[in-house]
Amino acid sequence: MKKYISLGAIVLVVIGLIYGIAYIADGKKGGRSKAISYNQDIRPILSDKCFSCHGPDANKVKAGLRLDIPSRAFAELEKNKGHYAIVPGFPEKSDLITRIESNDPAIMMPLPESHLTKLTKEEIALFKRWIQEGAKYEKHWAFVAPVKSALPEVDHTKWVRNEIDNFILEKMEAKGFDPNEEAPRDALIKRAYSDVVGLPPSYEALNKWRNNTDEYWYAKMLDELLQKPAYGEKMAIQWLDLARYSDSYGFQDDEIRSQWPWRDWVINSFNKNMHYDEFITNQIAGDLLPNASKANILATAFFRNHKYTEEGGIIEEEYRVSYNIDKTRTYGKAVLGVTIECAQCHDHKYDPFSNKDYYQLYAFFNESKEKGFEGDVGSSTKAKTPKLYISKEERSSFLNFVNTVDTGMIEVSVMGDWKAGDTVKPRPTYILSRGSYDAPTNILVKPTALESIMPYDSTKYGSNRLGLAKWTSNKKNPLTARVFVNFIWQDMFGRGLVKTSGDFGLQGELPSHPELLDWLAVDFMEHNWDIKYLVKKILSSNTYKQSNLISKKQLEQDPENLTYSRSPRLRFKAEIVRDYILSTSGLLNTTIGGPSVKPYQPKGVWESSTSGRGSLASYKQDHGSDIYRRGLYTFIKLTAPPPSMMIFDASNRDQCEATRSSTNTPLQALTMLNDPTILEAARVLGENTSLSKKSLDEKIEQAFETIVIRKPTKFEREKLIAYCQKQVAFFNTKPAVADAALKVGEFEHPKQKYNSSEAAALMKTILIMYNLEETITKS
Amino acid sequence: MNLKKWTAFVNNALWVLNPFLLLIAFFSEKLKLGMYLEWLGKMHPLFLHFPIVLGILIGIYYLVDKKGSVDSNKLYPILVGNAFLASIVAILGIFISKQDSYDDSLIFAHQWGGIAIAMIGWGLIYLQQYNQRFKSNYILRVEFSMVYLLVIIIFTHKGAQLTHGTSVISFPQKETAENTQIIKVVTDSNATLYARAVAPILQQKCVSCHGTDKVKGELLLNTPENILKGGKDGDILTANKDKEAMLFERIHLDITHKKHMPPDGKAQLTREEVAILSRWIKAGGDFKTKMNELAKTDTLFLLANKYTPADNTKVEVKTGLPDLAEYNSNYCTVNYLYYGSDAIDVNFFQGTFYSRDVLKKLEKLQDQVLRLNMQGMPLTNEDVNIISQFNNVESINLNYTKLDLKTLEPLKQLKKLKLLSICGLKFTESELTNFLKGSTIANINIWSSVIDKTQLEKLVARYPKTKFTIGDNMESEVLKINPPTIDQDSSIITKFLDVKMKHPLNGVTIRYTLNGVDPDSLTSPIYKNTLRLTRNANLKIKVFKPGWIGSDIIQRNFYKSEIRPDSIYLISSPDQKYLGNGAKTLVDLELGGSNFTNKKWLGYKDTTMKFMVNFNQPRVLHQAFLNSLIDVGSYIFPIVSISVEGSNDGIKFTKITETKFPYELTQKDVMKDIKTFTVDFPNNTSYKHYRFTVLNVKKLPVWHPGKGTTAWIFMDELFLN
Amino acid sequence: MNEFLEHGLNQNRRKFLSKMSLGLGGLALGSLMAPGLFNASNEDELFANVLPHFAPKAKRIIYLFQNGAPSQLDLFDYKPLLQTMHGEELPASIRKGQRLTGMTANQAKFPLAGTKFKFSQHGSNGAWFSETLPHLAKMADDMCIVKTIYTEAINHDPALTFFQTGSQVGNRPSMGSWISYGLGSENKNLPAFCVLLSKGKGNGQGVYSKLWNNGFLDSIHQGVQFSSGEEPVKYLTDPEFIKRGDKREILDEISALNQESYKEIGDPEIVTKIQQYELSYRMQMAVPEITSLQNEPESIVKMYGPECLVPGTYAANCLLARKLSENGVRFVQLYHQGWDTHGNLPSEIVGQCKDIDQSSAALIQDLKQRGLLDETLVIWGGEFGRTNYCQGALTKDNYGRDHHPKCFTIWMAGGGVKPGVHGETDEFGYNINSLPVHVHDFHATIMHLMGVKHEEFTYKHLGRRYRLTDVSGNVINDLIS
Repeated sequence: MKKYISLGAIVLVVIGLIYGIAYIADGKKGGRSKAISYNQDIRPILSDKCFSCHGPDANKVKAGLRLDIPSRAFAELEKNKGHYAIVPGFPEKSDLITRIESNDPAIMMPLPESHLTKLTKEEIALFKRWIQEGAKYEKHWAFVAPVKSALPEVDHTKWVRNEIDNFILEKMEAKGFDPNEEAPRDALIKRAYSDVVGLPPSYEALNKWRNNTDEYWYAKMLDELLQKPAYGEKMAIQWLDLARYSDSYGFQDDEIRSQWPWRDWVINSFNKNMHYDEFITNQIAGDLLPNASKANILATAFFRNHKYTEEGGIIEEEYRVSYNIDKTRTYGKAVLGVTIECAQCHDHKYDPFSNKDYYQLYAFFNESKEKGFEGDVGSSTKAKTPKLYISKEERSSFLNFVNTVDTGMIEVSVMGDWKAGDTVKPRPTYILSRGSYDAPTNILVKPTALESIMPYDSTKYGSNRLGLAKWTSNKKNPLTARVFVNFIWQDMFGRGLVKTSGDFGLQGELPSHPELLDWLAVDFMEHNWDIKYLVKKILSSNTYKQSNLISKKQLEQDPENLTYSRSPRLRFKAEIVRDYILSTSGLLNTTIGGPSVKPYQPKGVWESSTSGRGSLASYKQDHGSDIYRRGLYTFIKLTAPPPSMMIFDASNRDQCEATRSSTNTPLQALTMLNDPTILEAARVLGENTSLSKKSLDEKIEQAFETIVIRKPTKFEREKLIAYCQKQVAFFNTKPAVADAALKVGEFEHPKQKYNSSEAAALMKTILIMYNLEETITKS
Repeated sequence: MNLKKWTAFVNNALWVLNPFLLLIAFFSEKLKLGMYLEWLGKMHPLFLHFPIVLGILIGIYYLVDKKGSVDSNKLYPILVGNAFLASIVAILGIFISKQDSYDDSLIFAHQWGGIAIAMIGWGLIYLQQYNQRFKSNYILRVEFSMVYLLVIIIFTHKGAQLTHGTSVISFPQKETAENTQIIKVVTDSNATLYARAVAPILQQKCVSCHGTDKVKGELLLNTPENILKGGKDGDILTANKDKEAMLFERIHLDITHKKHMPPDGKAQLTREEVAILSRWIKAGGDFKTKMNELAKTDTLFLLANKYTPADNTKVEVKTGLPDLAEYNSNYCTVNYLYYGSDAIDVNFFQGTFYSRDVLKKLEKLQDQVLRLNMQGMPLTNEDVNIISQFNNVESINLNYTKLDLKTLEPLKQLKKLKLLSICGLKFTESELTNFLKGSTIANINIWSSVIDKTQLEKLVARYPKTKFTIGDNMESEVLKINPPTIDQDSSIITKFLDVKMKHPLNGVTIRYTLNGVDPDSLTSPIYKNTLRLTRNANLKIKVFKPGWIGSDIIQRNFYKSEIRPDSIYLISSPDQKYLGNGAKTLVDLELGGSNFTNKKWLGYKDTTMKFMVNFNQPRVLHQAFLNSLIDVGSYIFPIVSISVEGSNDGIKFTKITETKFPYELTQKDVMKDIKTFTVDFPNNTSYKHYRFTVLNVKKLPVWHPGKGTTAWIFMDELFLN
Repeated sequence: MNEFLEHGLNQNRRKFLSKMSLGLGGLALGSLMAPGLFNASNEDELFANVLPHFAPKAKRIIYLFQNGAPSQLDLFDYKPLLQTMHGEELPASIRKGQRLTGMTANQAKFPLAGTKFKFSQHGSNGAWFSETLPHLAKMADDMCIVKTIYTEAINHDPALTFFQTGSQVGNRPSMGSWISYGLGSENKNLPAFCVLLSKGKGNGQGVYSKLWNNGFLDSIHQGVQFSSGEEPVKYLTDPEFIKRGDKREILDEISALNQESYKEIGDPEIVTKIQQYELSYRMQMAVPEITSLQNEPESIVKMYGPECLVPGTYAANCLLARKLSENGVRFVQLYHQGWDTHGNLPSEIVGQCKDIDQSSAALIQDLKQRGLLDETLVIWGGEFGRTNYCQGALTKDNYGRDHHPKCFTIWMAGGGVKPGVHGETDEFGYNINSLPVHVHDFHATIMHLMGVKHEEFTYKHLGRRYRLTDVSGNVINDLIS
């Protein structure tokens, strides 16, 4: 009998044990939870393989079957009575399964004609499981307002610096990775400088932070950097890509335009740390704000940066429409991260945006006084109506960020030039069939934002751009904050938490760290859209501060660094490469804003492609300090963008661009070795270094630290010194060559006397330093 | 502890294990494991063999032992052990099932099967211990053991299938060709439907039994002929009214049917393959129809077009096509003609870097090389010998390889060689005739040979079988050479100006003049590396080269501009459209070029052009040049007159000079030109302020489209000396 | 194939390609060099993008783009009726309310303008050529003349963009970029996609770098602009004070130091960087060697005409195009400006033809006699055609023509096209009677000649599958020999 009691006891213990195991496992999110998620597992496949015929696009729906909404997916098949695409709980009864499993062209899905490939075994299994488990649909993650989820538990709690680390580390551990060590101090300095101000620390600054003993030195450094005016310039770069900013009109004659005051507005706004809600409101509807200032109006130039034709004989309406299409696309991609343009000709194939939704959004921009054509290049003006005029007085007073020596009026293309008492009379908007200007339907639509994202109450918001702005910056809007936070993340880590930062829709990629993205978004809004706060938050995390060493394991199992178990090694953006070299050589002209400048450029870039008309037919290089401005001030002629920038993957600014590619090509090598800008930089730094009293070795070391932002290793040190000495010897025998070398560039030579063969030798040594992979790479 | 104690203990343990087993079995969906338990799971395959063997033995024992003679107490520990092992294995089994996603249906069966085994094992202990009927009744025992054995065999086999694939322990399949062979697919769109899809299917699924090495039912399916021939029951492709075509019928029979093809146990046709074959047969089963003759929407087309033999690609990646990386180098690319083909295309580039080793390596691929391009490589007969081993090569390009024809002899052995290019090789007529002897090459490119064209034509006419491309030799033609390029952007001479001239052809003579006279081939100075200008010049250049007609003359004006005004402003504003860069335009030392819209020109029409030139100190002027555009087509006419007044106080001006430029423009010279208008000042003219007034044509001549209206004038630069 | 796999695949491809010599290699090369690399679960998708899909007829393309739209009616599409009806109104029955550009939209009358040039037939197919193209006429038997190509756009920018990228708007990859991405470069020391620009004296429109833009593909697939001047490629020439030897030394230093930091950091991108520098060095040698005219025999110079010695001329570019193509450049794209003959057509077009006639013919002949024509596809044509009615004042011997998208003529040679005249327009040269060839069809056909299935050669960007032929386009087999 006793035996049986003891047995019973044991049994109980065991049961407890099992539940124990189960419970713990459950607690661990991201553990091997086997429950199928519609958003994570099913919809990516659906939208990739099925929605083109069974999705939201009402006109394209085949056999009346829609798989994007349960009601339709569970309904009896129109073409095949008694059959159902999906019978929740019963894969075997669901036609969907039969068809995706089949190879018989008569019934198989996707159809052979579609050129979409058959689903894989794994995918089919997923579908079975999903239906088995009741085929539960979920709303698309991005269209549901974000919420702060509880910070995940992590084992390695010591490593956590702020909330970001919880989310990152938790996934990292789940994948069996450990974070890298914290990066060496020099690396951190270079990294933070390049991410916040896009410039290297000066030799002095470097040493200042190096030797700073304060335990909060890093935080202090961030605060100091965030206050530098260069911060605004750095942040502007990405925004200019999104806003497709350029200095010419594009199209055939490609005459000059003056949108640069808007560019300066952006820089200034970042520097003043204008909060994002205000930032975006101004650009969407600054002109409609109650008693709008000129600054407010200037902001709306954001929507006028698109190309503008000056080709004689075009049809005005065709182009006016195309400009609004561009505005709509830009708003969608840059602000909401949705590919709304897909709904221009038909209902969106994947996202819940109908053709009607598109034109309702389009209607907001359609009200503007913009014309499709204002005469050809012969009568070109620097801005197109509606224009904003800025006088010298205004520039010197409240618009003092608009910076130019020019004395006359400046004109900028903006959204509204409403006189006092003007009432905005929206031009009626009709749905254009197939999106073509000459086929308006009789369906009148009124301005309304995308309701599938968030309801738009026109009585509350009103139906002009101001309403759109309010709707956009409303904290309930599920996308605005997420999208911007993601852009900032992308700027710092090279890849957004949502990789397709321009598409949060169904076809976009799923976030690698959904909870983190949401947490950051909510946190961002809770801090009233404070951008500097956000930047500091990210840069303070240990995730950010890891070293960038790559272990074999990381390389093999996580080449893309999806776990963030190391700091990404990114080549600087085109503009930053330039800034870096100018700055380290001491050439950089730190003036902020003003008309774009024309630095050195290979011969014939403009000439060979021009129509021969207009003032930009040939490239007239600037001189003096103008050619040492930061990269974002380089003049962008749309039809022939600056080669040195394009070679380093800069945006051609033809359209709103959310992500730049990052390539590694021989043309880049050629540029780094032969671009006069870089040769000149090497020369000037060479000359100045040779002036100092230090020994040659010390000179080389200092140059190295100035450029690479760390002390050289023994190997590097010896190699470079040996090379330089060899060169000195060489130039001593060939002074003429030394002089030839030092002729490079327009920048005048130092007043003081210096040893030209040493200067030339240093110049070549420095050229080598500039060409090190590490130099123009985020440390 | 002796055996008895152990057994007791284990038996108790069973009371723990089995409920545990059942529990986790029921909740297996919910079950989550830490890595350790999962790791334990990996022991499953290790242990499972014990209970199976033990179980089977026990089963057999009950079958053989009629009397049940063996004493329970002896059996007891064995049964307990068996039950114990079974339970352990079952538990581990459930653990392991959590790790990889196995086929759910198999898992299910196997899992519960395993549990059943464990339970039966457990039950058996008590049967054997306490149940008298069981002990006494042999039949009962037999029935029991039957069930037991059956359960064990079936469900453990399920498990085996999970790990070793469903075919484990099914009938032994000998490694027929189909598992290893590479099936080639001709995807090129004017391949026949047969070659594209039908043949590969037969190849892969049928030929192993209906092929040369094995002929079942006297039927061969390896070639169209054989297929048409049919088997012992005759034709297999055509249906008659009461019966489908045999091939069609056989592949559609149920797999259980003994006539079903391919036989059970052999690799079966996929639904897709069945569809292709049947539709092909229905369509008349012919071997000629080309893919591109089928409608793009035709299901058969779609099927066939999409078809790739099952596993074909895998096979290729595994065995077939070698990785060509090692053959590729910086100056030689080696590629398959297209993906899936084993024919190879070889290209060499940049003779300066040619290395024979690269070619030598290719010997490994000698049967695969189909095209070989060695244009411009510095080859010798050794290379040719290597090439002559590429016995499947179809085209060879040896242009400009400096080989002589004799060395090419070996190439004539290449039976497949269809195209040989030997442009730019030097050879005599006889050498060529020798080479052509016994050559079977269909196309030969022998352009730019030294042999005179007409001779060549005669010669090749003798070889009608071969197509020769002789091309054009224009050596003889005498053409006009092109002018040089002037390598100097500025046209303005401050102190001096160095002008460089370039010509892309070798052996040219560049002659020039500075006074507007046309250069000739004898007297005019010859240009050497630079030409330094120190005063106004009308530079004219002409290029000469023997065997060529002298070039057109090109000319450029260069202007001396010693004196730069301290300031300059426009008294009368230019037309709104052509404001240029304001007054600066006149002194920015930059010429406007021929395009008047480029904002480098000042344009005047209705207002008369007036501008003021200022010096801080009185300045002596000898001469002023005003550069202006003439484009009669665009209503832009030459200047009529320039008058200049001087002053030192800027208020009282005295007239210095008025220069008229009488012109006679007739309809003929609809001219476009840039012209300099010169104003000479009387000696020792010296003022602080000079006021210029420039008059334009007020009435356009009658022959001009805009007759009567005023003409434009366009200015871009003022030069003072 | 699910998001991740596909993504991972692209990633692999990109990572791998960027590592391949030059990063100018294409999928074909890439995948064949390391088949194991693309271990994605779903082969078909995978192999759909392993190119070429089947044996290509053409290995390389030279596209002589005539920017501004040459008048088919004055060059190839001979319409005697227009001459007889010279000055008469275009029948509405023919025009069918076709949309017009702003230039003629408000023109009251549409007087037909017959060409003032003499036409004659040439070659075994009796193709018509106007007297302005004597040299090309000689090549008639090598030319595949398509009289019935049509487009959707009527303004230059959209029309050009459409022809080059398969889409009127937007930042899509250019044909050349697609080819570069798909097939890569044959010669690993040259880019796969080169661009050459020239201008005629006629009315120009300008070209835009977006025409040879890589769109969403990596920028290694961007067209590299070559000029026939001293510096063929931007930043190619070293400063004078750096001699070849120095350069080698500098590169060695750089790579030694980079090697070191690779050992330290372990980022493969560093290795790539080292390779790219080596490559740039090889390019510096390859390009001048290839572009130099010095070693061209005089007979060649005479064939293309002495103009070919003047950098930046169309003739020079034709010659350069041959040299590049011959040296393994997949896609050489020329643009010749100045065909936009809204007025003074007779005088302007003569000049334009003088620019292109001899050298275009020479290019065909030159390739042919080297045995390269069969594997090189030469294409000649503009972005749309010109109207059969006059723009502006019509006089006896002067007229202008407006843009006409509904039918125009392009020709191709070599690369497996079928010589002859294809398609017929109506007697007014306004509408198509037989064998219409849409721009998408044209693209599809070219892809086919290169051994690519245009429907399967796609690239996924922002969740959508893009291809050169967008969503339509059929291979026109009549054009293929």
